[in-house]
Amino acid sequence: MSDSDGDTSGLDIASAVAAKQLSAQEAVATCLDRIEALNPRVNAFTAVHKDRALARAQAVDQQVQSGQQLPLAGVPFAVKNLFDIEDQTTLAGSKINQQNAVAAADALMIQRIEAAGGVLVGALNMGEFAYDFTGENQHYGDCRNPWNLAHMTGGSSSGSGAALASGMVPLTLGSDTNGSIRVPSALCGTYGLKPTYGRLPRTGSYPFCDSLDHVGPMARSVAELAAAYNVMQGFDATDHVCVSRQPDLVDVQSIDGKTLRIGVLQGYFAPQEFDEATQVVADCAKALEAMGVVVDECELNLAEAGRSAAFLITNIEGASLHYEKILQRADDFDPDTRDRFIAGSLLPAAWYTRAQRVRRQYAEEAAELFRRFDVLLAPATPIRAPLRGQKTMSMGGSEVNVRANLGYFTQPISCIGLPVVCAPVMQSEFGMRQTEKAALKSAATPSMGVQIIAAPWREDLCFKVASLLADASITRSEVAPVSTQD
Amino acid sequence: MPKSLLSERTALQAFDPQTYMDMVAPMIVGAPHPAYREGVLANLATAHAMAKVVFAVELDADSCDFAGVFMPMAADPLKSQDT
Repeated sequence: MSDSDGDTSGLDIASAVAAKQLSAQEAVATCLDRIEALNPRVNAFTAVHKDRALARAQAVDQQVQSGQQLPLAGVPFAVKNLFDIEDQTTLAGSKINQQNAVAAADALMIQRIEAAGGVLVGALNMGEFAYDFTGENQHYGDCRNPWNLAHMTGGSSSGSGAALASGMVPLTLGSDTNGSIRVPSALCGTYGLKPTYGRLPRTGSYPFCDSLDHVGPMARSVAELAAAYNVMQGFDATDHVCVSRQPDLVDVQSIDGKTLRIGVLQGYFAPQEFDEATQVVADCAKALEAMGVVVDECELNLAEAGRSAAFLITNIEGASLHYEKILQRADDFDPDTRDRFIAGSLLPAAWYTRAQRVRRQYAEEAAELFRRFDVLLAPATPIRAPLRGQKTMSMGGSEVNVRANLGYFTQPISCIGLPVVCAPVMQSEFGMRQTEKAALKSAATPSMGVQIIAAPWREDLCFKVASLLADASITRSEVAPVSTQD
Repeated sequence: MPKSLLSERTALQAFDPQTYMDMVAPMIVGAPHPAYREGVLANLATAHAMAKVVFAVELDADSCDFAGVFMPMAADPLKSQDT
């Protein structure tokens, strides 16, 4: 099995390793070669742990030889550099953390994926302290969109999206506080899962905003995403928000798609000025309707308030986490992050508590909506990947900050902890009018995303709808043809 | 502060990012370096805009403050179900 193009799926690697048609060591060596060739262009990795990966791959081969069944046998994966890796310093995209002690153990999510046969190959670039939607990083260089290196990947799990889209690895882990898995998934053209708040333990990951932090997998197919999610589940008391419940293993075949009721979010989620983003959602809805699924329009009236609440909670909790460092080492922060943390340090407590109250009321509104609908659809980002260095975008008749507003559609959803699969829609998809197709072809990067949202703990429904759309080729992820030459 | 309370929204209308920063920052983070001022002010203005949206929500009568991050600690650590 050759994977010089990087488009072999993780599950095909696992099958081949399990069948002894391919060794884990061969799979990992091919992966490492591709990283070495492409990373100087894409800048997705901040560290490659070659010796560890080869040793781990050898151990996986021995486990397979001894008859162990490993669902991710030999699957190379990489993690956003806020996940602890034993004997490495957890950078969280920052210069400041370089002085921290090395981690004593791997993050729990790494342990679980490796227990399933996965092989960690390295740590991935990210926005500083995860306070970012762009993928730009002053300390380690911008992560570049594999579809067009002049463009943003989205963030803050920038390397997680770019490493997948360039075919360097078939599986990555990211974190999502306000959209940091979903934004790079949409802009790089990959799948991402932001699970229910409290579902996956964050043990061994560097925090940002405790009230809103999630961790989750990213991949190039629904099946790979589900396979990773299945082995990542399970209670862990170390994370105080992790909920004690048995893993709900995803089995999309067990769900009858025709019984689903789909709500297409309007109002806040359908502004006219972002017609390409809303068209992506409309096309997905149309395809589902053609399959016999019940589709209707709906609204979340408190979405804007939820987004605002998430902004305040993030700003204040994030600033509180970094308060000491802001006082001592302000110039060691990325200026954009620093100014936001300084401002967050000053905000009134009443704003924070009010935001938490509004969040609760908004969650109750969403719970009512899920009496009528099983799954909601919304755009993932307002626009395609902006140019790196682009500071503003047009919104509501004025120029607004890109860094804060790429998460316009994602922030209200994570605010109330709903599970979301973000699925990529590539250019020239079905159903587009000719003028739209022409516009899409002229775009510099090909992908946008659709958020497939369910009620808390119903990730299975997100996966079902994602698989329906993927089976119909409405959503798909491809490896970008990254040149190794200028 | 007047004897009679302002409404929350009236208080928000009175919020001025520059005045607030100049009065409050020296007691919390120190007076911001000139190189930081513009960015901090811009973020305070954005936060103010967000707060106005949040405070515009009519809360249910039975709404109460939720401690977003607090969980009582058991005397003995819970055992992981995975082990």
